[in-house]
Amino acid sequence: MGRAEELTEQILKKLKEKNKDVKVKREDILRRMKLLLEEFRVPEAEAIRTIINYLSREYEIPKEELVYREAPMVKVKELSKPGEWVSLKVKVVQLWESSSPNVSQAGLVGDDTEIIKFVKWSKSNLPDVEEGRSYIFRNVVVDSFQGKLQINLTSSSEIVEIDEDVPLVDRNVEIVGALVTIQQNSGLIRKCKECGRVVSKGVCPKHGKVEVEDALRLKVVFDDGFNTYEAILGEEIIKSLTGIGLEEAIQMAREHFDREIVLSTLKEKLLGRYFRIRGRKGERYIITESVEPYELGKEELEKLLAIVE
Amino acid sequence: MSFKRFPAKRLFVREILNTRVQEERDEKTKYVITPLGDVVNRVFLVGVLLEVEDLPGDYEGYRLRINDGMRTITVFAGRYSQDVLSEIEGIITPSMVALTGKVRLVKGETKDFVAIRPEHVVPVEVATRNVWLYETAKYTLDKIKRMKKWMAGEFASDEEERRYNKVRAIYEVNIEDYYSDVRDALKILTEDLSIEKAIEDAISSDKEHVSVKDEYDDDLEKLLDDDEYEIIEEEIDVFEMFEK
Repeated sequence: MGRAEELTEQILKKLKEKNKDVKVKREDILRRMKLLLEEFRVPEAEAIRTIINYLSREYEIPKEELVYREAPMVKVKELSKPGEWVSLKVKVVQLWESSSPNVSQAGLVGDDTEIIKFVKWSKSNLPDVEEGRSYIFRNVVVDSFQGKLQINLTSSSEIVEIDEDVPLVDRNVEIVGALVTIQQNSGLIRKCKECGRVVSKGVCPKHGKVEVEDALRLKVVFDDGFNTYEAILGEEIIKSLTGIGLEEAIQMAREHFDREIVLSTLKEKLLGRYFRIRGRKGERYIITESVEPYELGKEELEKLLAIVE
Repeated sequence: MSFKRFPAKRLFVREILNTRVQEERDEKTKYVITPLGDVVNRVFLVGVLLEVEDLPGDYEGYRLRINDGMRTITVFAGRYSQDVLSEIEGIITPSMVALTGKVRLVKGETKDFVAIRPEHVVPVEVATRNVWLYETAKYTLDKIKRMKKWMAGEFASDEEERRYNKVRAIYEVNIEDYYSDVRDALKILTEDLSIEKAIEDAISSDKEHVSVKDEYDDDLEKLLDDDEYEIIEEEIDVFEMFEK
């Protein structure tokens, strides 16, 4: 099939998808396409645009329904700004519970370069994806939500399940850094019994007024002087580092008639200190496997001494 | 590709004290450029908190003096740092502390200088100070090596060249000074001091003692009026919204 025929098929396919009953003559489009490409040697994009304008006028079809975006195939790491239309070959890393009826699925996808959040909008009417499976996402649009890039699957997008197993970027991390700050919703907190979300002021963001249970956790930032790493420390790690577990924390809060004492005690013990962190890098947070206090080793010091003077 | 928090750079006090220029890429991206060409917005410093003084007059807050083993820096914590004020109030001086803070250039009445707005001040052990000395010495050494390359016309990027030209225009860089900091830091490390000895040494190395009335007095208002830097870093938690 020649290029003119290929492009004609593409336009027809798009037309049929949106307008089952529009009777557009294939010959009409093909003739024009051949004329533009072969006679007048117009660049492809120009030819497509010209024909779309013609069809739009002639058959009174809104232009948006005719435009065929052939989004280039890229790696996740290459995504750089909102508004980009791309295609990706990715594996579904994690699926999340969507809190909005407009979103049919959301979660994380990735390839061998990076991991990113994806949102599949309900209006797209696209099939659901499964965790652990690999797909080609065609024609997704990049946008920014709360400071982070994410990809959106819309009615212009396509999902193709593939047999290939997309390898994920090596997300194991080992860092030595200082614990430079502890963020909000840390310490002895209350979690929603239904979903585990942090409950502040007695209200779960999803379930409203709900039964709560105590939990011990810290949202921290580790900093090695070059990069920052956000991590969530759970009860086990907190207990191994400070001797304070959930039991001890509840006891402390009771004795002081105030939960704040837990956070201030943990701050006293952990802020400003160095740790070696091992874990896996999620999209924003590091999922910690181990956190241990770090001290300067003799070999390191000796290596540096050898270079100086 | 993700939310960028400025890293807390490890700098010796000397390099901070000698810094005189600031750049602004946009509203939220401001940083100083040090004599070694480092780009700094936030700093992590471990040293001896020598003393905490009340600010004069009606000013709420404190003036802290912290020594990194070689030099002493003055840090002001004022009304925009309420959390830090209570952290400071709980510390008995002298004491080994870790300080995280935001750095900015202040154009004072008689001179320009770098101010640090503390985010956290916490007492720490000497082991922490040792890691910090090592990291800072290593980092400073790398910057000295880089500066030497720059002086020889070797740049890894256009940005490096631009920065070097700026440094050259504003500073008279004496590399030997910064090298001596590296040596001094390593010397302290090999001595492997106890915390008491480390504190003692810092006190005795701190020659200058100027009361708040004499130092920065004209500029106190400017130093404390830091609300333009009160950028509350994004706490909205996408992860939380979708947490299983």
